This record gives sequence, C-alpha cells and structure tokens, in this order.
Amino acid sequence: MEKDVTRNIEEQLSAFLDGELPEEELQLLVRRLERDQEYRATLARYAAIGSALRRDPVQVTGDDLRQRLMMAMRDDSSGSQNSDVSGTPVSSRKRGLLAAALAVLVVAGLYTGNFFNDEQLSFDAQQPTELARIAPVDASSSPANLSDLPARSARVPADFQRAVLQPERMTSYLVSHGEFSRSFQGAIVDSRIFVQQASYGE
Amino acid sequence: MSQTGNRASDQLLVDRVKAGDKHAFDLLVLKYQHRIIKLIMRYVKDPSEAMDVSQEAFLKAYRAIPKFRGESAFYTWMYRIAINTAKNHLVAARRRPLDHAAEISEPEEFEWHAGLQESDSPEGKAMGEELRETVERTIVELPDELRTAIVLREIDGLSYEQIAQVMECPVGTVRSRIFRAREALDRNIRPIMDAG
Repeated sequence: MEKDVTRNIEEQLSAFLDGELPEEELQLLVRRLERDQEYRATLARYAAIGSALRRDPVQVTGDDLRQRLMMAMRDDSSGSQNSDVSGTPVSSRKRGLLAAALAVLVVAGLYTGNFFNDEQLSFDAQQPTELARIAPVDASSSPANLSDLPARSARVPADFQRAVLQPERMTSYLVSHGEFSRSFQGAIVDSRIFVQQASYGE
Repeated sequence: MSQTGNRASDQLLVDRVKAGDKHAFDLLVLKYQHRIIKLIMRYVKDPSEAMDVSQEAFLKAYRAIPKFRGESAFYTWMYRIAINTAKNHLVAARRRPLDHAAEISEPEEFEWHAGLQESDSPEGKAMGEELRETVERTIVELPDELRTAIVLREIDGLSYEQIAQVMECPVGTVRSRIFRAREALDRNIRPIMDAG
C-alpha cells in the first residue's frame, strides 16, 4: 500500500518535471516536496536522466550547485526584497544616479573655475522683458552684416539668478544633502568614479 | 499543452518564492539547472567556472523574482539572466565568448543549436561519463513502448499530448510509460548519484 503511494508520488514527480502535472496535483506535490528531501533527490535524479539522454556537456551528479545556492540565498541579507537583476538595491541605485548627476555638475563647475560662467549664461536684468525676441527678417531691408541685426535677448528675473546661479548656495545644498552620496561611500571628489559605478547594470 | 503546463507550474513556484518560500526556488533550480549550465557552457568552457556562473545567475534571478510579472515564461526570463551573467563574466575576465556561443538570442534557437555541438572539455566529459553510459546501457534494455515514450519526451521534447498522438494511446498512458522508463533508469543510476 505504502509502496503504491510512493510510486504514485514518483509518477507525479515525473509529470511535474515535464510540466504536465494538473493544477490540483501540483499544489499538493509542491507542498510535499517542501518537506521531503527524499522526493527532491528523486526529482534530481529524474532530471539527471534527461540530461544524460540529451548528452548535455556537463552532468550534474550531485546537489552541489543547489546547496551552494541555498547557502548564498541564506547569506543574502537583502533576500528577495528591493533588488533588481544586477543585484544593486533599487533605492540606492536611484539615489546613486542622482548623486552622480549632481557630482558631474559640481566637478564640471569646479574645473571651469566657477558655476555657470557669466560668459555662458549672460543673463542681463536690464534687457527687455521677453524671454526670446527675434526681429522679423525682411529681405528688402537685410542688414549688410550680422552686427546690424537687433540683439537677441533673454531676460530672467534677478531673484531667479540669485537663487539658482550662485555657486555658494549650490555647494551648501550639496553639503547639507550629503546623504545622497552615501551609496558611493563618500567618494564625491572624483566624478569619474560616479559615472562608472552608476552605469553598471544588467 | 506542455508549454502551458510548464508555465503554469513554474508560475505557481514563482508565486511561492515571492511569498518567501526558498524551497520553491530550489525546485525551479532543480528543474532547470541542467539547461542553464548547458547554456552557460556555450560561453564559459570550464565546467567548474560554468557552475559558478550558473550559481550567480540563479542568485540574480532569486533577487529579482519579486519583479517577475509572469509576462514571459520563467525559463525564458531565466535564460536571459543566464546569458547576461555569462557575458558579464567574460567581460570581467576580459575574454571573448567562445566562437560557437555566437549570437543565440532565443531559448528555442538555443535548444536547436545545442544538439549540434558538444563540449570538448575533458572535465565535462569525464564528469558524467559513468552516468551517461549507465543510462545508455539501460535504455536499450527497456521495452519498446517505454523507450519510445522517454526518447520522444527527453530528446525530441514532445508534449504528452503529442506523444499520445504519435504512439496512438491516451495521455494518461504516456504519463505512465514515461514514469516507468524513468523508474527503471533511476534504479541503475541511483548508486552513482548517491556515491557522488
């Protein structure tokens, strides 16, 4: 009787391996496999038979890989939570990318001497109010040279310039929000490190 | 039927892993480790190295499984992780993939190519030699209907329904024949596996 039950379960194992076990049997079998090491070993042997028949290049004759994997899963403190395929915690990665972007900005500014060089962003509070005003081009009255064209101008409110474009405030912001650089272990001195680390992924 | 069955079966295991059941993941590993190692050996020739990369690939899959939504079959997803892991491993080791790894982009395509070329690694051959010989010796001794059923399943990859059509018998009979074939083979390979 017990032998019949065992054979019946082993037949289920065989069908399970082939993905042919009906749902109702599957639920029961998976629960049984959780607690019965002997049936797991039988399943492993059935899988090895198929591998041998297909003449796979490597024959897995033991459960070495599975044991190592289970140990690694146990040691993996992050477990199945909050990680992506690259194994990098997702929230850390997002913060890392933000930190990388900010770091690149800062270092670029430092290399050029100051943030947002006045020559590159020559906002002038005295210019007209339109953000971009380009004079209409009239073929009959084309100027002889470009200097005759009306000046293209941009105007940004003076308080906007003070709020965004002052390097002291940017530095202060970065220092006070230094937690964003934690995932990079404080290596904020070299933007190349950030770029390399942030670009790693699957 | 086979594909759908496998998919449903794997999804059930995936759901259990998501609920925190590590043993369910072990069953997925048990089911697919041979195919994943074989796939990785297209990139990494050394068997022990291939085992390490396989372990890494499965571990990545385990970590990422909360994000697996079941839009593709588990094996297809696992297959992609394994290829990426093998490629990253080669990049890290500053090596080029083996020539025959070429560009095999889909699992089905890989299955087809896989039968064409065997590893010339002596370690790989030695590792399963005894097991393989035993299986081959035993299978010729099996009754015809059992041998045909297991060969159609394991080598030709037919579903139970397809085998039933070929052998002109009910699906239940196919299931029973495949099991009996495995049972007979298992009796002979068990001592080898237990010793290993």
